[in-house]
Amino acid sequence: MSPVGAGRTLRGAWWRRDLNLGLGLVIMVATAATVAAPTFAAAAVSSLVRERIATADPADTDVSWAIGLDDPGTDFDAAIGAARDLTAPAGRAFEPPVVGASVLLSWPAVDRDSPVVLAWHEGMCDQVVVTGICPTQPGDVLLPAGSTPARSYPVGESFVLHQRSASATLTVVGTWSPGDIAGGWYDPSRWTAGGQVPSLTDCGTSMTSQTMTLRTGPLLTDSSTLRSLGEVTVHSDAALAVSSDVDQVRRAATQADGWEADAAPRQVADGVCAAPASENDIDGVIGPIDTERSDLQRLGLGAAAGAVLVGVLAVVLITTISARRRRQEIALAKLRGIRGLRLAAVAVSEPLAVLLIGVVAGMPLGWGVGTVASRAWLGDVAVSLPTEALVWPAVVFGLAAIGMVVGIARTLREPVHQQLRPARRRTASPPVLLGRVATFVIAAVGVYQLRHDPDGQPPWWALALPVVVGLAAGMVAGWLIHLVARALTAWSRMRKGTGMFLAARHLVHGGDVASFVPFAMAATVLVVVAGSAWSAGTDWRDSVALMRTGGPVAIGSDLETDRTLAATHTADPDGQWLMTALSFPDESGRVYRRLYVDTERWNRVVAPSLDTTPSDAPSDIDPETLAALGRHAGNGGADLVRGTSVQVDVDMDTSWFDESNDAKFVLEALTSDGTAHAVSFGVPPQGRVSESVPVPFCASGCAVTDLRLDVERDSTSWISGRITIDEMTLGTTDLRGLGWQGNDDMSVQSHVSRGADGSLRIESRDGPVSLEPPTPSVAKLPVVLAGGLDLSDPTVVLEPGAALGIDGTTTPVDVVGRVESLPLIGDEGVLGDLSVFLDDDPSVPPLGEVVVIARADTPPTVLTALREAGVDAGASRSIESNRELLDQDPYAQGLRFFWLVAVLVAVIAMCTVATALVSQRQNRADTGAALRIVGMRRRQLRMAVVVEIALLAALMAGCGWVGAWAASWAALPSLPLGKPDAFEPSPATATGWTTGLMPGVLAAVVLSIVALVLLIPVTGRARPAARLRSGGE
Amino acid sequence: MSGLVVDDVTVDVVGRRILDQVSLHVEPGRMISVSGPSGSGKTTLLSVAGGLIEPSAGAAHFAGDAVWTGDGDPRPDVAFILQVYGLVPILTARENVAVALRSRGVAPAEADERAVQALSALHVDELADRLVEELSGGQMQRVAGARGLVVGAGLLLADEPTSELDEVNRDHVLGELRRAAEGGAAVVVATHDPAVVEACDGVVHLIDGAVAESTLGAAVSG
Repeated sequence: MSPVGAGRTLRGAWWRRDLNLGLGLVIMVATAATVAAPTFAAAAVSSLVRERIATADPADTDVSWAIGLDDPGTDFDAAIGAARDLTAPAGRAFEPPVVGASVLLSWPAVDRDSPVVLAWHEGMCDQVVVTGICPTQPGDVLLPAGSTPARSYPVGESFVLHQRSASATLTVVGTWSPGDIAGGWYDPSRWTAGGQVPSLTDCGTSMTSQTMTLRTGPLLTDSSTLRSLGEVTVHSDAALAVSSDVDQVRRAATQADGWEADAAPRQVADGVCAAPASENDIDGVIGPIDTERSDLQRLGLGAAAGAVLVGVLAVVLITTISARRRRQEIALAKLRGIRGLRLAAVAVSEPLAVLLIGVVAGMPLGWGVGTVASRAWLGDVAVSLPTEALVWPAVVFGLAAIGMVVGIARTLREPVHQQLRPARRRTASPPVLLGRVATFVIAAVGVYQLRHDPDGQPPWWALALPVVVGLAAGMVAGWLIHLVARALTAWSRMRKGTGMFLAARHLVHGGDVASFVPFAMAATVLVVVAGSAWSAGTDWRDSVALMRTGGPVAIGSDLETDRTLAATHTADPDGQWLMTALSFPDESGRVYRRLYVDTERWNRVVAPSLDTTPSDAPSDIDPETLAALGRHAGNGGADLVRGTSVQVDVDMDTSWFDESNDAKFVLEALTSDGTAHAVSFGVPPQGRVSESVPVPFCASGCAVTDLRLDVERDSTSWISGRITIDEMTLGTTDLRGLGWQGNDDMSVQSHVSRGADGSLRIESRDGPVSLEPPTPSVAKLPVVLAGGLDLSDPTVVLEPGAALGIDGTTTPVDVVGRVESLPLIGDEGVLGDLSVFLDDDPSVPPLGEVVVIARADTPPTVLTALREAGVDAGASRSIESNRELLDQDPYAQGLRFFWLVAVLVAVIAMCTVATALVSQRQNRADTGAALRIVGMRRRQLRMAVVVEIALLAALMAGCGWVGAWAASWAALPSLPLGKPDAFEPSPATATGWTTGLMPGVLAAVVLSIVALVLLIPVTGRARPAARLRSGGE
Repeated sequence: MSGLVVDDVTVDVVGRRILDQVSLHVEPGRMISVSGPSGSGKTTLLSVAGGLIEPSAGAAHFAGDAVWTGDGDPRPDVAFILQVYGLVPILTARENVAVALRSRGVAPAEADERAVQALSALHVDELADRLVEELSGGQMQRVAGARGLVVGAGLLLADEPTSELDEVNRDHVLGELRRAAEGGAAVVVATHDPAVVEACDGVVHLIDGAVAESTLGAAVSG
């Protein structure tokens, strides 16, 4: 470009700075979105890799070697040196190896059956908390703090440990306990695991291993102590380096796999054999990251694509407006003989320069946004610029340039004589028309794709759907605005007042007056979808955090269940703060998940936190069901029935000895706490009786035990005849079907039968009428079922009608309630009362997880009492801590970023709206001046603007609402909102009719305010005198 | 004093003198022309006379009241016919004319009817429902003329009202202006056209913002 051309471009850019500023901002923010998206996705993946490695079980990520030394002192130093060198080739993928040695010894004075581990590790005293002194002399030993030996052997005390061929005399120099393990690679599991202990003899044999359970944690000693002992195992343990580079980690996994594949012992020094002692699962640790990375990238790419789409369409709009403003300049260029590429260069140089500046400025902005977002949401994570962050800006520039050509082309082709006249309203050009049709087609296809995606993994471009739906909704809004305005034009023609008269005509004939509507709609819809997704994800994480915690705070207990239960009752005798829970959360299939809680404390400890979650998961349990759970089967194990009244219809055809005496039917029942109740209703010897008899004690369950006919004042109650009970219903239970049989008092000639119509028929011959249902042989325990678990389905349960107890054996149960999901076990399982089931299995130690659920506001004194009762209140997790973990998962990060991109799209839309409105200001000022010169007052002009914007806003709010609802309905189920574990609820993606209503209204209000602020002042800005000289357009 | 009185008006814009002590008196019923070369101050004089701009010195009155009302909007009894038409692009020809009446409180139906009559008087009634962008320059000028004439203002200020018209249509416009004057309006026409000057009752010739020649007895240049 020549200096003259450059000067002309710069002058033009300055002269049209209102449009060019908008154009530059739009393309800058769109570019920033495409740079920020992959930057954040890469940082999130790096953060994930680091977090997964840092929190992984060392057994999965460490590389460990074992060197077996059979004889005392044999090559101990050589083995140590060899162990140190073993993992050296691993390079930076692994931390420098930590070398240690251990030996199994017997300690008859403490436990004759189980050996103890005597161990030494490099730098061990720096990684544990030592009370006393660190062992430095042969025989020095640290005992595990709090262990039985530590209580028996004070500092200075000596004792002897034995092995087959040697013994060691040790002197206690202190105790040790695990320190803060968060900051280093050290993990207590390395010290306490009995696990696989390789037994190496020589390099010619393959490695063998044995498993043994160690009761006492390791005793720590100085390395010199171990020299005098045989059967020492030297360990070399290299922890996987915490890296943010997933590819580097994969290389490390391959390396470790190679070592493990070569599992045979090998000579590492003279007389020293070594073998890999670990089976790493690094791939298992980082494996899910691929899926999560894919989800993150899909989400980021989809959102960024939406930003690009809105940005490019904004470029088309702004360059169209700009080109129209340059019609006379272009006409003059044509008159000067400029044609073809030179003319195109004149036309495009200005917007092209602005686009270039915008893209260049958008790159560092995107990098900055990506970095700030990464640091804010991911912590101190390394942020690097991925390759695609450099490719996308080029794509944005290319697409924007195409958009610019589309915007300018029509004006360039316009004949000179038309360019020199005031601009006429245009019909849509073929490319614009095509674009509109394509928008609707893509919106429809996208909705279909998202709603019918078979695997829930729609392509990334489908996630840009909200923007497309928003644009389509905006176009519909534009057409509606036109239609309504045309109707109002006719309506206002003969109506007084000029507000609607002018507003309607402005909307019909004002050309680009509503051109910004699709952009506002697209941003609104995307923000609504992002907000709905964030809200759904947040609600789901709240629910899952509570479900995983079990209550406000869960305190792990190492005590047996019954002792834990006793401890909570000791620490909190009134049951205000603590509740013991025993869960079997990892079961599946026919051995389903189970939860046993101290139900009488549920309402005070757990229920309040259930009310705080926005979703229904986990479910609360109503008080009556809780009461039923807590009552032991004092009913003798009979089936429980529930209801508040009994409906009876009895046909009497009987006689008794003295019929002047009244007779009455008596129904007896036991409630589950063992209390007997009876109700009665009178009957005549002959005739039919229909009654409704209240049985309030059966509201939460009772067992009907007896039905008899008493004749008052007649001790014999001899009855003859037939009694037909056509109805006897308690609640929803037909009592006639309980299998009634006559009891021993009934005459042998009497009998009970069921009629074909279901009626209960009693034939009595000179004897009492007294019936009872069959007595169950085994007591039934009350349980609540979660989800769809069906205890009667033999394909699901081991024994139909029975449930697994604490000890894993089946016991008959009575299902007293059903809920959707339960804390700790999720949406499939069984809930029982802990005391009830402990009574049933008193001597069986639980294999599940015992926790004490505590209220968040539990007084410290109660926690102290709990600790003194044996439950360490320090080992706890809370809803908040689980929530924080969930907040760090990739799905939460992805939703945050989706939200951020939505905000960027909103910024693009606002820039477009503001630019479009600013571009209208001159024409509106001219129109205002022209109207004022013929007598219109400024307040009338202001009113016309207000009416016009109100019309726009109302239609935009309506279309925005519908568009936002449709996009949310289509997109939410496909967005990665969160990944539930087995039996956890999935994020709720239902879209209510109010979705998008308030945001649609809010967007319309915000837009109205912006429009009023920009347009109202111009109604009085151009003074009528200016119209005497300037024609305007 | 009735009619338009422009008294010793001076207009300075950004240090440049546009009008220099110009005085003018137009009685109701008279139609006078203001002529002069481009840049002589004709349009500025009409602006001051119509109350669109405030003079730096001097004053303009119509029917005894100052025409400058403080906000640059003309008084209801003042009407303009603009050289650049000043038509509102979002309105049809009829609506452009009617809106001048509606803004003065005339009922919509009556405004519509009178608008069509005014357009008919200038032979553009068949274009009544066309948007401004669909009109030629001459058609727009006649619509602008109809809009200025329709309100029956006491003071009618026309800036080059026939510049784009052929002879026949020019005569139509001049005839309507004369009719307005005969109806009691004071009519001032800024023009280059000798035929228009000839059709008026008097002429004030401006050069460089000052009155160089006047056939009006009351016109005085300072």
